[in-house]
Amino acid sequence: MYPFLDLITLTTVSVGVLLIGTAGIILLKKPMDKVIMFALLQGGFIGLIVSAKYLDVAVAAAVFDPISTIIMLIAITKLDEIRKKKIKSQEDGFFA
Amino acid sequence: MNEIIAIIIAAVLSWINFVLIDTWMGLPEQPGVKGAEVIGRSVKRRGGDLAGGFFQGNIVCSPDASAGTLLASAACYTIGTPEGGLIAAILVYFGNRLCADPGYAGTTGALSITCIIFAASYIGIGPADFIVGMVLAIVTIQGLYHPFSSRLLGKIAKKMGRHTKLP
Amino acid sequence: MLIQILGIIVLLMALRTLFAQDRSERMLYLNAMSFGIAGLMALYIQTPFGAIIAITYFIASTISSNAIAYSIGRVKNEIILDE
Repeated sequence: MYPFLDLITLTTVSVGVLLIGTAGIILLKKPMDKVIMFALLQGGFIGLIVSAKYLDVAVAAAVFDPISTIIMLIAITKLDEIRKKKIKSQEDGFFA
Repeated sequence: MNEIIAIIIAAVLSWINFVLIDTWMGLPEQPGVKGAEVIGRSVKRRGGDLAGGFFQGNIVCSPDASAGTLLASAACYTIGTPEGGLIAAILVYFGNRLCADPGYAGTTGALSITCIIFAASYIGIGPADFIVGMVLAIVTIQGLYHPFSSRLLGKIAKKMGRHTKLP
Repeated sequence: MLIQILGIIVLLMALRTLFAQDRSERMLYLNAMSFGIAGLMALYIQTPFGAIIAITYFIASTISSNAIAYSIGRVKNEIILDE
């Protein structure tokens, strides 16, 4: 039908998702939103590896990427707890 | 058969398959894992139904009948019709235990969609149409407008007696 | 034809993830996009290993979505140091 419908293959869709994920990581402010965009970027990345027919690399990447996401989430949760505890102890310091 | 009609029929069949099996297995009643509760409460806060929100949260956070349907149809497309469904059912069972979810919704969905694909192959609808149909069904539930679809899922849950009792 | 339909769905869901307002809404769009990418991978590589790739990627993406949703519940409104 339209000539640009022939451009939609796995390669171009994965590159598009990758670029949208990158734009999200750069533009969004809070760290949790950046982690969600990082998960989007992982999807596009694995799609790109599969479209280049490196299938065993894709299996390894699919297994190891969520581990890095979980490590980042542990870091964000810990940092937030520490900051909230500091602010709470400062407020108690004012009252005491 | 015409391609668009085949995709639409496959989408309707897979929608019915995974919504009925998930509702019957009790997915709208309570959140299976912790992350589903967060999503369910957020959908309710934005104007939806709590049971529908728990349903959508359970789809995101653990492999249920929707995952079983998609992966069984992908396996039937590449491996061949009855064998692929059984292989997908075993792997979805492992995935369920990995996510610490004690249910059997994924395997039931995979086995039932294998029977449906086998029956639909006599009409001329191949497993590839079921892959696209399943993605379209998920987009209508989770990708368009969350309060409306969660209210629809809540009505189906109430009709089957599986609405949630949590506040 | 099938790959084109799935490709358009994936790109639309990715754009909706970028422009959504609420965090849990983003998780739902992200999950729909993962369904699409798993289907695309199975349709592109038509050998049995393509199904194995789709299954592995989908279950791994479900585990990471579960972790992100749990952390969204724990960190209600986080504090950032600058700005």
